[in-house]
Parts: sequence; structure tokens; C-alpha cells
Amino acid sequence: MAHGGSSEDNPVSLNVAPMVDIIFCLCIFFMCSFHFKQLEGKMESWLPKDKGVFGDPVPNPILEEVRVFMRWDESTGNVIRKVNAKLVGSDEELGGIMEDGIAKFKSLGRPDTPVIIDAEPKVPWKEVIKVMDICKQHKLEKVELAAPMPGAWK
Amino acid sequence: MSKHAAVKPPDVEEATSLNLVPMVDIMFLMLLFFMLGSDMGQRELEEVTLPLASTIKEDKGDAPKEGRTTINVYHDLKRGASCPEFEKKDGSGICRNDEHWKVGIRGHDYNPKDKLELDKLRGLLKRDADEGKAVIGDRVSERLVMIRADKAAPYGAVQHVMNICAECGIYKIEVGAAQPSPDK
Repeated sequence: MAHGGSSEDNPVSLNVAPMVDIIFCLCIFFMCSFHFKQLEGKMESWLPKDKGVFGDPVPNPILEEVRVFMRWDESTGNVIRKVNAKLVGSDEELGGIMEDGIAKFKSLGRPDTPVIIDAEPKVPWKEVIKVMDICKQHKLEKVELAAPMPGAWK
Repeated sequence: MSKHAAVKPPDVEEATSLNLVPMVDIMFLMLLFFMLGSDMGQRELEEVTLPLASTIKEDKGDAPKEGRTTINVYHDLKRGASCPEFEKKDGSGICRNDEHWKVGIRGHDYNPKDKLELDKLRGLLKRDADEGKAVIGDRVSERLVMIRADKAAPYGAVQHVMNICAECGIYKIEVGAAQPSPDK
């Protein structure tokens, strides 16, 4: 240009084609490896500090809880749920029974009575979470998970 | 009229030449978007299908000052193994082969059935728990543990992890779940 030539024949002009190629490749790489993050949430829970694996066994335990038993029926692929030995079918029924049980304990002056989920090791995790979810829906905040039987999943 | 006559006719060759600058700009922006949006740093999170729950709290990833450990419980098919029971297309697959379920922390796999690996897992959780103890030697740690288990995982595997946490003095637990979509 200093010699009066046009920009096309400038020997130091920037050739952007390789840069565009590389950016294209990078774009394709990131587009292929990109996946939208699933919206995740959490449910808070606490493990016992003073019982279970740390504490001494209670000599004569008195049942002061609403206990949900969950058993995996391999033949049907379903989970059998019982609340204090009573077979429960639907989620609504389960929620109602747990709520009534806790209300009874509250009327007896035991507001801290927990719902205890006692599931077999083969029960799918989603079924346990479903019961926890039902408890939260019925405003039952004190939910505990029963300690496993010795050697249950070993 | 004399003014119109003075206007220079457009240079056809110049008007049709390709201007790459806006394209390069847009590609740069796309590149930036994908680079910043990609999940490269999240090696902590294994790919699991979380169970659905409607009462979950949003996980903002905020940890207490004592820190947070994320434990994944997931179905392992990395070594070319296939599991037809788990791979059902409608997502209802339930695999009850305990050997297929692994525990993952910070990108490392642990087989809870293997005693050696179990000891390593216990050691790692113990170290994490010790970081959350106010005084060394305390029994209880304030360290938070997030358990992200696949919805089809056997409860026994999750229970096993919780048991190890309890042994290490960790009592603050969060369980991962996903919000169901409104149409379900």
C-alpha cells in the first residue's frame, strides 16, 4: 500500500481461513460434548449421632414410631409396603395412614415421633425416595432410615 | 441533476466480496458460550438418573465451610459389560446384580463388594470427615455428604454408603433427586 498497491496484493495481510477452520472445529467439539445440566435438587436428612452404629443397644425398645416396611417382590417386580403390619396400596393411602399415626402420637404428648423407613436392600432407591417425598408432602419432617441388618448388603 | 451526475457508480466487485468479520465474531461468541457452558469441571458428578421427588429444595451447590463430599451410586458398564436388565428402553430397568453397582467419589470408582476398595473408600471418607471436625478427635463431623444415587440402585447400596458415613462421624446427609416435569 505504501507503494500505492491495493489491499489484495499486500503480502502481510492476515489470512483468516485457518483461524476460521480451527474455530469451526472447536465449535463442533464443544457443541458435541455439550449437554444441558439436569435440574437437580436435594432432600436433607440426618444420620443418628447417638444411636445406630455408635450407641449401645436398647434393652427393651418400646415402639414409638410409625414404621414403613418395604419389601421387594422379585416375581412381580413391585414393592410391597406395610405400615405397622398393615398392607398399603396407593400413595394417598400411605400418606393418610402415616399422618394419622403421627397425629395419634402427638395427641399422646410425643410430638417428636419419627416415621421410620425400613426397606429391604433390594428395594429400588426411587421407591424409598417416593416414601420420603410423600412424608414431606404430608408435612412429616421427622423421617429416619432404619439401620441395616448386620450383613444385609455384603 | 448535476449533483446526481456526480455520484460515482457502485463498484460491483467490492460489493460482492465476502466479509468474514461478522461470521468470525459470531463463531467466537458461540465458542465462548459452549466453552463456558460445558461441564468440564464437574468430574464429581457421575451420570445417574436421579429419582423424582416433588418436595426437593433447589441444589445451589453451596457447601458449608466444613466442605461437601459428593458420593455417586451408579450402574457401572464401563468395562464393556452389558446388562439387559438395566438397559430397558423405557427406563424401568432394575438391575439386582450387586456387582454392577459402584460408588464414585471425585472421579474414582469403588466396588463396595471388594474389601480392599471398601477400606480405601472408608479411609477417604474418614479424611473428609476429619476436615469437618472442630477438634481433632471429635466423634462427630460437620462435613456435609451429598448422595446422588441412581433411581434404580438397590437401597442396600445406598444404605451401605450411609453406614460408612455414620462410622466416620458424618451425620449431615443430602440425597439427590430431580424435580418431575410438570406434564407428568
